[in-house]
Amino acid sequence: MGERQGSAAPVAAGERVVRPEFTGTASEYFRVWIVNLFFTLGTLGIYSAWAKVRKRRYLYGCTRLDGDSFDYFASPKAVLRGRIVAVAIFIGYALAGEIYPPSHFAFWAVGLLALPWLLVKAMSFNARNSAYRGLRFDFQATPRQAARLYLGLALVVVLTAGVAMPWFMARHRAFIASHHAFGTSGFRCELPARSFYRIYFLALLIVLAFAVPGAALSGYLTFLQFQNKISLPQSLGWLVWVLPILPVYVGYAFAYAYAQARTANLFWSRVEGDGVRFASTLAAWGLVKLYFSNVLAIACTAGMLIPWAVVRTLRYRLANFSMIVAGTPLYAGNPSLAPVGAASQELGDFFNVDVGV
Amino acid sequence: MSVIQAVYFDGKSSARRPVTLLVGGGKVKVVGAEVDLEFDARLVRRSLRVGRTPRWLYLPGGGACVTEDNDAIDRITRDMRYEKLLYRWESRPHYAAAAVLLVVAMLWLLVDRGVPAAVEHIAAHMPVEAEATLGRQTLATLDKRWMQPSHVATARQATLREKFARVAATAGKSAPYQIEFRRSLFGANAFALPGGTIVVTDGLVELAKRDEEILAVLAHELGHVRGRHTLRRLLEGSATALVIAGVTGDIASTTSLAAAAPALLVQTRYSRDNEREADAFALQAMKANQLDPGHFARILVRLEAMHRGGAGIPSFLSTHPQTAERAALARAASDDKPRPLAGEHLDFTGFWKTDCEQIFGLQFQPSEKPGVYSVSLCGPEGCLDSGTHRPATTVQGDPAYEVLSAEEILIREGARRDSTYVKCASTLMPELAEK
Repeated sequence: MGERQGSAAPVAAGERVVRPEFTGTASEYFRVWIVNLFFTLGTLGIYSAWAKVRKRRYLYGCTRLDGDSFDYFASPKAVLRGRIVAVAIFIGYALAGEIYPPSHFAFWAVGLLALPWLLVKAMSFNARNSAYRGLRFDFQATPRQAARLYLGLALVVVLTAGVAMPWFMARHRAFIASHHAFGTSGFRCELPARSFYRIYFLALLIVLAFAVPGAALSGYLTFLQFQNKISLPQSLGWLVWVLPILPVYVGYAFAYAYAQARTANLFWSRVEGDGVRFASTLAAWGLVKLYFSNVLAIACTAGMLIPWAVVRTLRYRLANFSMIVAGTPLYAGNPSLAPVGAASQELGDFFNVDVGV
Repeated sequence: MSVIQAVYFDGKSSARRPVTLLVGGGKVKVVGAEVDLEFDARLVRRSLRVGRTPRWLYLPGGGACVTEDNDAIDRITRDMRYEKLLYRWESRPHYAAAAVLLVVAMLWLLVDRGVPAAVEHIAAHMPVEAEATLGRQTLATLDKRWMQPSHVATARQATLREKFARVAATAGKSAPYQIEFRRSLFGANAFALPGGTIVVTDGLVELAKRDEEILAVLAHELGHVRGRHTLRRLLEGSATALVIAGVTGDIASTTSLAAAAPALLVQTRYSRDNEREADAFALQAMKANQLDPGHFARILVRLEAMHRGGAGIPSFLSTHPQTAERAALARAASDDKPRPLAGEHLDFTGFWKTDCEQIFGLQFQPSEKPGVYSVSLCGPEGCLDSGTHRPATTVQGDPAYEVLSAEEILIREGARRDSTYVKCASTLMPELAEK
């Protein structure tokens, strides 16, 4: 294998830097996306499971690390079963809520209790159906371990009115990473809560830096309007509603990008496997530009540029990621990996439970 | 015999071994340094072709080979028609262009035809009791957060209910309904809830100059009840949200704003159709009761004038069709008081008030020039100097006035103070000597 040197990360003797590559193109992914969308609509959504696997196969197949691509082999039928269960639960949730609103609490209570199990199953399904160099990944946490973190520590976050949030996020990401494995070789990750506090505190300052002047300005404008010093034409009356919210949204986007970039960089610097460690160099400003241009492009083309946004986001993330390998480590496969049902992952997708790292 | 360059992984370790695949005679041979394997070709599965991504051959026993030579793999395996079709569509730009058109057409078909048909089916099979429960829940929520008990006298409420019962009875095919009076922050308004409850706000009762106007609005709401529009809107909202979620499922979380807007737009378009249907029912009900549909036009214009004062909603987001369009329809249905035509000159001479029981009003006095009036403020004793309100105006064509009929004018008195005046007398009053 050709070795590609030259990274910002300090590399010890005997180590080499491996940068991932994305070999796909937005136009090719667009064609895959639109054709699969067509079949999905034509079959009233049934085909969406096949479409999902196919799109992911494309993205995985185009991602190369050290010369070899990733493979994804989830069974579309398993995904479809999962989607049917998720849709059934969602419809039950929506209908029960319309007829008897307090039933939402029951749904959320059951959902909250099921969350650790759901999370573990979703991570397992995804990991076990992803492979590199012929070996499957694995996620080895038990629902009991997940429950301790997600119910126990989440309760602490609620009781401290969110002050414990950064600490919880650090524990959450360390938990996810340290229970993943490539073949039989597990990853290790420990994250210092102190660094997370610093990042989240700065993110909060960013939100305030936008929201406070924004609120003051819109308050002043409203005051002027009440004094009849300025008056908006009727067709622009909606600005009165939008203006005060806009700076908060923009500030939130900046803070989100900042927190994403900094936590991802910190996270990857603390993950290590057997003979391998990682480095991430995401920049907050780069992510901000990416998010805004993506939203703008998608909104202006009624969604037609979604594939383009997906590809360039992936490209940007991969370009800022590197793996530092010591020697040529060999990993062993785990022959006991049983396939896991897709239902939990689909539930996560549907109810917007964030299971990504 | 085909020869394909590939990389072999045994599935037990991550070691990569460049190999040569020899395929032929129902056998697959994997040959390379330290590797020499032979498999029955029927037991080897291969991955589907997706774009230019490398192709996998999954071997019995957990091993796998990967190759960039997609064409060679296609040559040695019998193509399944489904796979061939998919790859052909995905690999050619003009097929993709066709897919774009088909997707747009199908989305349109799904949202414009499919969703309403499905909603129609569900609405028809939804138990009346379930819909009534839904309505009660909604009313309870509204009462808790947004509305207070009405200040309209019980006797007046009873009169309005009774008058409307007669209208509804004569209107032909009706539906069970129930009228609730409430005070609310929504201003002058009326709306139908699932299950037939019609809520009328105190603001509407105050805004109406005659009971017929309230009856017209109630008839419109009964039109919604008859068509179970509110239930449909709820169902359509959920169904459209599901379609949108399915299409944008890729990255719904990063672009929720962009994804939500179309759902909103589509939803409002449905209810515009519903509004037209309810309008048609209201006009027909009024005619059946020998009530002038012009009343409907007048209250619509007044409602709009009142709501226009506040922060407006862009017109494409409004659930009601443009008021001018609706009022014109109502006026067209009204035969005795047509809206004045562009060239037609009306005589405005006389005393106009917002309500004929009021003491003060405006006097329109003709000047020497035909068609030009001076407008002055008047009380019971007489009028102020001629032209105190407006010295010379043609009324028709003046942006400060909107002539609704020969007997009703909308006068714009500033950003938030539009009001309608009706003609109470055609005689002129004397001017006051002292101001």
